[in-house]
Amino acid sequence: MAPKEASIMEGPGAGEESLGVTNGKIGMWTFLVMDAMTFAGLLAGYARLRWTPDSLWPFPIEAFGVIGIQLTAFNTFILICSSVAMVHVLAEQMRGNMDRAEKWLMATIAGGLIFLGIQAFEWTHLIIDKFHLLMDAGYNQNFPATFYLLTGFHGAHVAIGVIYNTILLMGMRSGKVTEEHTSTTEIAGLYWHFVDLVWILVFTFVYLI
Amino acid sequence: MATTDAENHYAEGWGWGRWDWLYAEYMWVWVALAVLTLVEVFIPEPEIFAALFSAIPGISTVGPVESLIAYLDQLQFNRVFVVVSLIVLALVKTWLVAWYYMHLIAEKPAIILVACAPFVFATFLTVGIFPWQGAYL
Repeated sequence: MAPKEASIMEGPGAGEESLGVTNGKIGMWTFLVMDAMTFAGLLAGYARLRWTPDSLWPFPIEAFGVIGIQLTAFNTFILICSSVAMVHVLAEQMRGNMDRAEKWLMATIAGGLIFLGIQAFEWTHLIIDKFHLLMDAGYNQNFPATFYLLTGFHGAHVAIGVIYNTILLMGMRSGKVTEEHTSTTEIAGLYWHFVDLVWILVFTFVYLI
Repeated sequence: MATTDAENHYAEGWGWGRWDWLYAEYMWVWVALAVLTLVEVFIPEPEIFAALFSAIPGISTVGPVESLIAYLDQLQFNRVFVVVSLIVLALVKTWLVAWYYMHLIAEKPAIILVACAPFVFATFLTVGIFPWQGAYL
């Protein structure tokens, strides 16, 4: 069997290597770079709209209220915890302790679901109680538009990450992802940490500044 | 058997085999991220912490704490300082996640360069389309 075929046959952790890392990782980094540029475009557009003279843009902290910022700060903490849980998944897998890796992965997924739940609660609260008051007060309509676009786009990434991690968990449970397939987990982790990384920027620019 | 990236790092001495060190490193990054998030919330709205201390029964009436609450209630940072410090804090947190959690610390220089590309793009884009004439913070 040719080496290339053998590598593909060995399972999800295997893969050809180029530039000294697996092609799977190169693929994920390429996707993340593209995705980061999309977020960069959205954030740059947000900055352009917000700081245009006479844009009538409310201060987010005043618009969301103190409780809103506290809740979102807590949500940020949840995502940070979920991110470190993902680190533990890989660490336990590399130790060969798949039971603990599965538990950490369940914690990672739970963190993502809690984040989405809190975001859904926040959106509902803002739609029903807040934003129509801001519009009545004459503030710029681009404020809620950019807010929902940025947080919604990120929320979609979290939802996809939860599905991705759930598939990984199913693979671990079925025995298809074993301690030898650390590359598979590492690539999933790259995506999940990227979601955390982007939220740090969205939280700062949309909620705090 | 095909080698994984993690095994390659171990073989190259990236520290993947020293489990305790790895564990501690990631946990310290987690603590740093949590603390920096608290600082991020504190800078634009110190009064949140005044409200937090006020809500703790038995503490808000203690002399020094009462003074601290009153001080935090009045505290307002300069707007330019708020914006600049929040951006710096966000970049530090971003770097922590990318460097330690996304393993750039153990990555080939080519991957690090690829990872930096969006920041270069973002900087040029933001500077390019920012409404410099008449913009206010």
